[in-house]
Amino acid sequence: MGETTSIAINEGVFLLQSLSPARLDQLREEYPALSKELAVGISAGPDVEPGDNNAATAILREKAQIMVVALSEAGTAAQQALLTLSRRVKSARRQRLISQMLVLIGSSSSLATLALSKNRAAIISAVLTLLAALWNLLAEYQEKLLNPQAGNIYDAFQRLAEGAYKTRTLSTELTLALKYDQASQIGQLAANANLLCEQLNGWLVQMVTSMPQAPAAA
Amino acid sequence: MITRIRRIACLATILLSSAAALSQSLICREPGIQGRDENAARAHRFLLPIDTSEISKAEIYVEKTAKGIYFHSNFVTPGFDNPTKVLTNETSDFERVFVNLIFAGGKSTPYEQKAALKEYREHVQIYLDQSMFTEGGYPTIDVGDATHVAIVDGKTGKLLAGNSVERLDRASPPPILLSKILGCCMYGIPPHLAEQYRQALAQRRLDKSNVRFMSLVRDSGTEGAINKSTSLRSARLGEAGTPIVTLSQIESAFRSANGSTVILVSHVEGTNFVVRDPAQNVTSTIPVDSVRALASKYNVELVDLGCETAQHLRTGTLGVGVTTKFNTVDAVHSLERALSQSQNYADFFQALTSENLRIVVDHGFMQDWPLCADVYAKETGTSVWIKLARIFVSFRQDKKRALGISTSSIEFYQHT
Repeated sequence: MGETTSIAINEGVFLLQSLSPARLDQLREEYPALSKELAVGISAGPDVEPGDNNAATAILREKAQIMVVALSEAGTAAQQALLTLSRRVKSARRQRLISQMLVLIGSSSSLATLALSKNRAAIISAVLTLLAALWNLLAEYQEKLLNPQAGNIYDAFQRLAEGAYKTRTLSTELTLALKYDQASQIGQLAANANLLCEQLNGWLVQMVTSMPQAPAAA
Repeated sequence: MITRIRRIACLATILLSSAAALSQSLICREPGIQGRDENAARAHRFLLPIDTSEISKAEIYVEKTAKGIYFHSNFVTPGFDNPTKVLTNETSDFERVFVNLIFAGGKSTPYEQKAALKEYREHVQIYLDQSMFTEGGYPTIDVGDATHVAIVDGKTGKLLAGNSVERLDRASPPPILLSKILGCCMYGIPPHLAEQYRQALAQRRLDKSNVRFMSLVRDSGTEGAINKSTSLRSARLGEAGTPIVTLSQIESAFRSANGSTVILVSHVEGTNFVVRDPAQNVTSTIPVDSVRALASKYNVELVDLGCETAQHLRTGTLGVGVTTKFNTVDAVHSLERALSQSQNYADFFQALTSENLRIVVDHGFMQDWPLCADVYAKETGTSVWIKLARIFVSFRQDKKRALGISTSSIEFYQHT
């Protein structure tokens, strides 16, 4: 029992601290026995195990429930980030379309000015080409993320979609294991959840915090 | 089968009777124990000259002898003419000895014993000779809940530490006897060397401009705390985001920090620095000794703060949790604070402590060993203190020479 009760939830706790500190405070009130584990960082001191197996299982379940909350918050954050990104993708595509149309019009009108030798037409065509270049720049800006190391919005969109899927799947499995009291699986699933939270802490938190908040999905 | 059992029983009887013959206690209410005149003479340097039959006025001198622990009191049991003396190698439980010292021949009721022990805890003065401590500074006797404990040098008759001696109860007895070195919560063992520690630590300069930082902890929260600390982030060894998990990475880091002070935050299990992934699988195990050897090789002054979580204890033996929170993030914050405030190692350790968080330094560093300090926190609802972390400082060789520390005075030392 000792091995299962000593599962770590440190990455889940840090994810909650970053994404939803109010929810973490709530959990600290709900689970006072886990006050050490609900602090950010790795706690020092002996792992104190309850004297009987029932109490140990109860602690394991509480830790798993905290991980479900962490995954759920991560899933929500990923969904919101996906919404924002999806808007940016649409906007970037629209701007690219406009810029391509302007390029097309600009290049056609350049040919016309050559044929007609009209100065005003030449100026209008140059302005159109300039606008096309500007729109192209705007589209590129929309496609980039604040952190260049995180790639472009299309990579980010894919990662977020994968992250949202993984959090949802693991959260469902853990919820089912808790519901049907599958003690043997709870420990392993909670450990996997903590591993996933470490990955999410690496990029999701940064992505979410660097992005303007999208309005909640209808 | 029966023959074999008989043989084992005979053998056990022989062994037990030999053990019984080896362990013995002598309770003396005569003028003195034969051959113990010198011990008695040393005791008389401290005990009140007037004997007493009032338990509250009893004083007891204790020292270690080749035949066991020698207790010499000024207490005269009613009906006898001389104060009681005890020589025993059977027990190190002072309260048990005290009951035998007060009452003769088991002629006491449980109520009387209880009342006597109350006096023992509240009023009886104990003089412990310095021989009652191990090389590491731990007492070889369990003084129980006694409040008046002084440390003396029986040979010179000097009082080394008066009633400033405090007690720190651990999960398993005996409690540690210690004295305050500095501030609220920095202590030294054995208690009578605390003042020397304060002076020695104050002499050891901590050059902040020459401090580097290294983390062997895999935790996003700890990384976040390090990245938020400007001083630690800029002093960090190794590449950000690339965890240090091998001895060769540490060697390369130490090579680049040659001649510097390196502060290392780590997670310690047994004699190893251990890195675990979030699923608690061990991903790296590096022997502590190897890291210290590398520090010595590259002339690095290594300050290693190791958080410990290796012990697995049942709630039956402890309370429900440690009152004071101390984890890797707290460690990072404490180090940042300590570094910004400290000119020397005395300041550094003092800044690391807080209420309910005690740092206990032992005497190894006075004898050219690394400085060893244990970090204790109080257990909820009990008087027990739990070891949470430990700090080791491996001083640079050139600094030891500069301070004139003799390398010829190395004694056996064991960190327990």
